[in-house]
Amino acid sequence: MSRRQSIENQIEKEVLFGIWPVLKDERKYGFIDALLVLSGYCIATWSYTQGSYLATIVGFKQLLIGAFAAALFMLLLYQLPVILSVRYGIDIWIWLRSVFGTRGVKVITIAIIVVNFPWYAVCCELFADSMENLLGLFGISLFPGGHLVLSLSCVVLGTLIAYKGISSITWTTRLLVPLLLLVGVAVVVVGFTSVPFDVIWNYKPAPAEGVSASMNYVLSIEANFAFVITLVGGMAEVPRLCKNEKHGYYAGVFGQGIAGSFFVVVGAVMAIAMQHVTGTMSDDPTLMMATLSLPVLGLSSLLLVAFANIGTQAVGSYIYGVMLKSTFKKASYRVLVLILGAYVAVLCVWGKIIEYFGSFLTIGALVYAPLAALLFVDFFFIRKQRIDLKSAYELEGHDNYKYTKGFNIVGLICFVLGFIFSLVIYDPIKGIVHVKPLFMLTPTGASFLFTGILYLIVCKFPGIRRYNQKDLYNVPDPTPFDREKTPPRQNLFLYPLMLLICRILTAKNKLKIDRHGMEGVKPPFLVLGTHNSFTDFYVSPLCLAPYRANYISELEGFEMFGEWIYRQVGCLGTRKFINDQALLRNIRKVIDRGDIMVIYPSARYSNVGTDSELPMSVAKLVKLLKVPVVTLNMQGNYLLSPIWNLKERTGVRLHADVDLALTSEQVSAMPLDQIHKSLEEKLKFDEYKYQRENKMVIADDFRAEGLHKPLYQCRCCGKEFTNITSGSEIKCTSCGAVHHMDELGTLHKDEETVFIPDWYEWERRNVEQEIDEGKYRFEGKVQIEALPNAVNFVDCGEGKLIHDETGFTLEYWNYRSEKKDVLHFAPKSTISIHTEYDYRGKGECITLSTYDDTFFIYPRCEGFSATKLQFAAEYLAKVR
Amino acid sequence: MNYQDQNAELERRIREAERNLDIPRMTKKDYIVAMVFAGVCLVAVILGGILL
Repeated sequence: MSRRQSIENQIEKEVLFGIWPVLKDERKYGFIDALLVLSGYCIATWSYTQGSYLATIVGFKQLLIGAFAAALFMLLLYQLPVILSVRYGIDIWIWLRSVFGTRGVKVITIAIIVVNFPWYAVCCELFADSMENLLGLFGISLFPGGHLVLSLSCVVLGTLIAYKGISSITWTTRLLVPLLLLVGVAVVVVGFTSVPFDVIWNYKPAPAEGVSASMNYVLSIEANFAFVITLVGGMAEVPRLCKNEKHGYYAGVFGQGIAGSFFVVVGAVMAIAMQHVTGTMSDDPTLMMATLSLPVLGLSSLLLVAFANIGTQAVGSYIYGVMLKSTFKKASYRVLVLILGAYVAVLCVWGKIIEYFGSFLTIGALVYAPLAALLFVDFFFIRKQRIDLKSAYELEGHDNYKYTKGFNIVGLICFVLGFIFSLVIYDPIKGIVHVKPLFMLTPTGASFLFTGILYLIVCKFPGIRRYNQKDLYNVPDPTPFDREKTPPRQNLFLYPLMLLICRILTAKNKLKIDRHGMEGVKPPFLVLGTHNSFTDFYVSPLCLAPYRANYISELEGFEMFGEWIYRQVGCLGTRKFINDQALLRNIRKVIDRGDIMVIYPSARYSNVGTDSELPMSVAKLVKLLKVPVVTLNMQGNYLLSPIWNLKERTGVRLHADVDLALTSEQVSAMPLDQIHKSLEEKLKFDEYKYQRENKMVIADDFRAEGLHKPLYQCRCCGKEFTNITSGSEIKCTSCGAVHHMDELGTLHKDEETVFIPDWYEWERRNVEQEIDEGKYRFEGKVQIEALPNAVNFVDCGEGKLIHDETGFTLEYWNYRSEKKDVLHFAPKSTISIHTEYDYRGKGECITLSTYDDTFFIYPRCEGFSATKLQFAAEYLAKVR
Repeated sequence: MNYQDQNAELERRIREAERNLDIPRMTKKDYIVAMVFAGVCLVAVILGGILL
């Protein structure tokens, strides 16, 4: 064999018997072939066992409904994720690495094998039974141990076919399945002709003591659910070889739901006919054919049934061999097939699998139902049909599915809880129902629902979402945030909890609220608030209680906490400093329905505890809405946790002034300028002045650490970006000037006293002068991440940012068009910019927004100061 | 194939799989049909318990 042929064989080996994605031109199966293979897998004589078991608990008509309708219902639902196998050409066990972790999936795989492979021992037992019965008809007795030899020979033959490969399996099933269908039809015809039609059609089992008819019906539905859900572990190995998603899906659904179910019914017909004729239920088609018709038919059915069991063994060994290969990638497929064969052989030697058939069925479902639910919910709702294949295949540097030492704690806990939930409802060993209302959903159905809903809900919690979906960064959702969506009112049930949390979080800082002119003021009204830190969101609801309100919030808060919860607490999503007409419409909707609308007009936390210029557009909005305006001036929130160092300080007391600033009559009567001036007055603040006037001692050792971020320019030598901070000091590394911050927030250098806001405004004036002199320009390399929605950030790679008198120019990788692109923001369009000093631990950044994306821009160069860029943007917006 | 070749081949396949442009997908209509079918089956199961 040439080297090329050898390589091609190796590749084929990895694809067909391994875990490599199957590419389009390697797909082997259309709908019919996939249907035949899966039907061949499902048409095993265990179907007869299932049918005869069902006939002991329900009548024939209910049996038909259960075998077809119940089976198809469960299959139509849980088989849906199989389309991932067709789409990506992978096994579901590759996907399940995202649910259970790269090592957790190994544990689950082994659990599935342990629980599922006894099915093949059932096959082998039935094969041996059939052979023994037929020999008995001809008066031949088996030698001692002969039964075991027969069952082991089924194991050996099936394993050998699987050992040889998928081509052997395909040809086997192409011949076998149509013939087996013929056997099935023959059994049905013999059954219905050897006994009167109505004996079978009107058949009802003898009533069992202590068990109602409805309970038995539910048990039969449970048996059907459990029967079909056993396919879940191996449901993808064949569809991944399909050329079309719909075909792969329906091949599984109809393979089991029609072909498999037909044979369940065949088993029931056999059992009922045999009971009518001989007085004993039997699920052995050879015995039935020989008893009710001609022995030659029994012989032919024996041979075909023998092939059926061997074929099932072969397909099952292939499916689970590949499944194990997905998990233990270094193991050889052939070795795994041999191990599986050995396991079945051990069970055959044990010899009691048929005796425990009913219990084994339900115990199996305890494992499959949670697995199927997790896969379904993860595929459609959590990961939304996108997976990071590089992490799933554990390529170097791609660790999104490593979680906690290879185990996804979230997925595993949900799996275990789903398992336990079934046991809470029903004891499958003793057959005791514990919770009847849930039992009516069937234990499999209830466990499926419970596990799915549990997983969906827990993944909504921000911390869990971040843990479970680290891959979002690699396979992001680019869908823009829906800005038009009507904001709901604050959730009535969450509202008291929200107030309680706000009260608890502000209690230690002794929040005091003073209300002025608020007597008799009822919604709707507009609230304009000062904005200093996240504490504003704890104080505001307490100031407005008992009324619920809506709040404008930037999208990154939605991404941080989750869209659903953010909307439930009343937030409207927007992007900073864009002309958002959708936001205006939503503000109008809130007011028109009689609610309170809270806006923080500065749209950013204050850098040094002082107010920023109120845009004229706020006054215009006030005029437009024609409702009373309340101002919310909060003090202490900045001092507690300034944006340049979020660590909470001690000794801070919070205070809020709630003022009826303008009545609706005043809004209508006053000109814009006057409205603007009046509101600006009400929203003025200086946190350090508040601190000094109230002698609020903040003695934390670290109180000045981070202050060099807003105070980036040395006020002594004028050098930029040379300040550093440590403890309570800010020091210039160029000239050595040291300013010490006292416990009332004032800076001192030698005998000199400097207020932080004054230093800050001095820097602003320097930037304005630089612009006036035509010297201002920034150009540098940056790292960019886009935030399109509330779900994920998108890496836009390295780019370039230029800021000069023409505005901002951003060169970046446009992930939507998949090419390099340039965005330009004219000065008037950026009246300010959002700045962060250490955004989520990634460092200083600014943001620039379009309607569909917020770009977080981090420096990869020297000379970048978010504060300086902000000063420049604000001045350029006025003068250009 | 040595380990590097295997890795390169796997990466190539992953890139192709991620593009998966040419595998006909289930459409919205297909999903609706499947769910309607499931709904009909569920109704049959419920009626089977009540009427039979």
